Amino acid sequence: MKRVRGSTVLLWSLLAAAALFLFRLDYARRITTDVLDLIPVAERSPELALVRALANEQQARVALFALQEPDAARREAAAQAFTAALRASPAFAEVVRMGEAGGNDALSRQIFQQRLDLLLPGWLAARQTEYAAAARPEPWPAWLAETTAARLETFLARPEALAFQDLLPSDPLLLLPDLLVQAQGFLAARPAAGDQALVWARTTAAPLREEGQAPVFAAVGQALAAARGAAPGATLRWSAISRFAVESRRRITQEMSWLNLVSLGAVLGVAAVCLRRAHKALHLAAVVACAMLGAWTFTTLAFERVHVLVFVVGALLGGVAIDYGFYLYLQPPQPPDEPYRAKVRRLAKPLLASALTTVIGFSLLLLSELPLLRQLGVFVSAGLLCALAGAVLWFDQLKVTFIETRPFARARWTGGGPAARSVARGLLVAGGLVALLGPWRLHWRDDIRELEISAPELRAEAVELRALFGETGSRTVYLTRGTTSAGARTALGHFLAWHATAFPGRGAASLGLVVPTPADWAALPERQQALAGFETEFRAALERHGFEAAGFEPFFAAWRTWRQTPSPAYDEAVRALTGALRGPAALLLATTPGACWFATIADHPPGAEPPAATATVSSSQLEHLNGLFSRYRASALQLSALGLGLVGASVFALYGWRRGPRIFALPCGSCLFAFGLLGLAGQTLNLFHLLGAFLGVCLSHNYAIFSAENAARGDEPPPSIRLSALTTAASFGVLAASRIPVVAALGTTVTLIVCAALVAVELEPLARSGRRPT
Amino acid sequence: MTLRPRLLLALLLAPLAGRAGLFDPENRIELPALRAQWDGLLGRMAATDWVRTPFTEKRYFSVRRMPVVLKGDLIVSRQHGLSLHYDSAAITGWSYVIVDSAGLLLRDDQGRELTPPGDPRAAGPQRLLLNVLQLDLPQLAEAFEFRATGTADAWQLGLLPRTADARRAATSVTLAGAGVNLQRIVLERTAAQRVEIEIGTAALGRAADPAELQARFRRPGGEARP
Repeated sequence: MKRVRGSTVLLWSLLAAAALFLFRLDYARRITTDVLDLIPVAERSPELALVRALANEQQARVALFALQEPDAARREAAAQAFTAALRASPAFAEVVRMGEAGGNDALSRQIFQQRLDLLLPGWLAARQTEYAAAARPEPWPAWLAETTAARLETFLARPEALAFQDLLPSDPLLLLPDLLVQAQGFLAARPAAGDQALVWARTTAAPLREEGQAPVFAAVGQALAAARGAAPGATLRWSAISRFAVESRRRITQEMSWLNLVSLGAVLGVAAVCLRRAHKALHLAAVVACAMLGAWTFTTLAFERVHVLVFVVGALLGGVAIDYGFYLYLQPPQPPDEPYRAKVRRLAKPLLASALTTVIGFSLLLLSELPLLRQLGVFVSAGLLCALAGAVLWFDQLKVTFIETRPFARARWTGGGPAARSVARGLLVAGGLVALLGPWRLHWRDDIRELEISAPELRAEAVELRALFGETGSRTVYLTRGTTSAGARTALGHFLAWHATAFPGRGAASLGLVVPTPADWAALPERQQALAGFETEFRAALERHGFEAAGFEPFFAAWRTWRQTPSPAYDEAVRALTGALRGPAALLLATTPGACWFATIADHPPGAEPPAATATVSSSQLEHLNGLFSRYRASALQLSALGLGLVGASVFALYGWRRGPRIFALPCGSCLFAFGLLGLAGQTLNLFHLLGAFLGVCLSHNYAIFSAENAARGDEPPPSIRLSALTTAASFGVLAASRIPVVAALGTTVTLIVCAALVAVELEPLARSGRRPT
Repeated sequence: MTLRPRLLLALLLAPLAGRAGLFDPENRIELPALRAQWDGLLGRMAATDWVRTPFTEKRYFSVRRMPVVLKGDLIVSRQHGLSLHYDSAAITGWSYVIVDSAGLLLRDDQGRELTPPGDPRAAGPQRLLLNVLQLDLPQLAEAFEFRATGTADAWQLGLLPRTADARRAATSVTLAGAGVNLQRIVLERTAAQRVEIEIGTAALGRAADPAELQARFRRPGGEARP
């Protein structure tokens, strides 16, 4: 009976365990497509906390619908049927037909009811400032009464007075007219929708979760069918984050499949073309399979939720992992009867040096704040270690552990005359110039939206719909945050002061203005005390200014009640306001303890960002999070520099001060050349270019090590370097064609570095051909 | 009751009786009949573009003893809408009130603008005033019932709202004129809340020059500019 070898048992046991683990994995729960999962849960950045809150709260659940039907009567019937069907669906928590009494009417009603609690503190503070500035001799209540009556008289001549005439008996202080003029931003007129009925809705579940997607789509389908029952020709356009999420997941999944398949195909194709017996390239596929199995297994073991982008970028692993197959399989036995294990021992130093330097480098990514980088660090490190172990074990199962490359794959330029030497040197000098000068022209910018594949049709439809609902590019939305309502309101005051300076003459409206500042609120009891006698004075002043004081009885009744009733707590008053908000108005502020914010709509296109002290960010900053990613990029740069230092130190430790610098110069030079080329091309770089550079440096490092090993023996660079570089370039070249911008960035950078390193390795012997070999 | 108090009461009720007369059900007239009877007159009025006239506006509020009286001039254009210019900008706060298909826009002498909040299609009394001044009968017929009395030399046209939107702007509208001259408009919400507009002699057909267009009407692509 044939004895089963330990390496065979070990190899197949590990493969079976990994396959079983991955087979039983709950992919729907463990693999995420939510871009916010790429960013730490405990992220310190307040703008990201805001984005997280917006993504998970009501704001992200909004769906906008435009139902088109030219005939007005049929349109009305269709809109009613559509709205009724959506309201009947449990997938929707709230449905508002735009133009119906609702939204703004409810907001105005609520503010009216709370006008004395919410608006009077600020109004009194403003009047008291005027009183102090005027330095009038009359007592405060008398002055206030006279001034208020005079303001009211003037107001009656204003065009807007006619719209408020029913309100005046209840609001002679003009609290609401003043507010509504200030608030024209968030209550702004909407363009007429023409032959379209507009419906605003909020889904019950968050849009990035399954229950916020399929049931919503089904309900919309049923509602459209109901609308078409009334108007067969009605068409629907709608926009919701869930649509983007589903489309993004579909595109990323599709991208992952084709990138992995094409990348693997390209790698094996290059190997098959270069090997003397093409079918033997399948042994290299086994190494790649070991790497992939190991990478998937360890990454999903290490992280509860893994972003799908890790697996998309993971397509690169094929091109890297196959290197160990090349280094083992393409190295001839020396002497010819050298046993496989002796060959492994002989190659252990360069193999371990190249693997461990890369692993050390990528392991440093585990220190990154970004979950994506940590997951990539585990994926690549585990994948490479598994590739090395898999290669060692796999080839141990073969009888013939060496395969020759085809002649062209190991062909060398032999006409090394002075001309060839000059050309080689010229090319190296040109490359050096690019590496020295180009990087100075680099620009960096990150955009979280580049982590996804854009869906231009959906985006265009969303822009059109938002315009119908009143959102235009000529406005900027700011969000001012605080841990409490009072904190957010104080910050809003600072922001509005900054805005008035930064954008003079430009309006900024916020529902937060309805909420009194904590300072005015705190001063209210004292100011209330000082108003004794105001009612009498005010009645007299009204009569003097031609009014019927008795006509203001609704106001005086409310005034007396307000003076006799203890004021509510600040938070209670704010909660009463927010609790009554419905529809779009409910999205203009949030008073959840720990995450309060107010939206401000400013009448100008996006411009300067507010300073950090205002605790305010613009929605455009929230869309791309460039500021936040800049910090991550700086952090990743520090880690990369540290990793590079460690890689360099390990090379210096292994190869000494004479060969170490030469080995280390190749990856560093190639990296600078790639950045130089990108800089000269005017390319804007992001975090993933940096990540790609780090990976490229680690890979080209391997070429330097194996090239140096051969140079030490007086040999030319081994063909495995050429094959390794070509397969890596093939797999990363595939990534460079990805529709996900960051994946393309990573692929382009690595391809450039690897190709530059290969060219340098090929040119170096030519350039040195006139010299005495060292 | 003696004769004098009766006479006094009759005199006091006379305006109401007049109004009630116009809005009596027997004076109701449908659009086709109105067109048949009045088309010569209304057609000539409606066909006139670029009407310019001084006006006196009296605003009656329920809480005020006397009306607020404002004077100014207005321009009505079929294409550009209505532009009201008040003589007393310091009091009204705005030099121009512009009402057109995009809604209501207020503008001061420095060019600062304000779009008052609310739905532009329901810009209230001003919007109604535009429709009335343009004598867009089909448009008015969608929201109002018509009443008519008088002759071509001294006529009254009454509008009673059919829809809630129209009722929010006015509970009745009275137009009075002589020949092609519209002389008086009354937008009434209650007996104590109404706007009376006395219209002077109109100049017809003189279009606004570019500077006037720029100052008095909405600018192309115009969103409100603070």
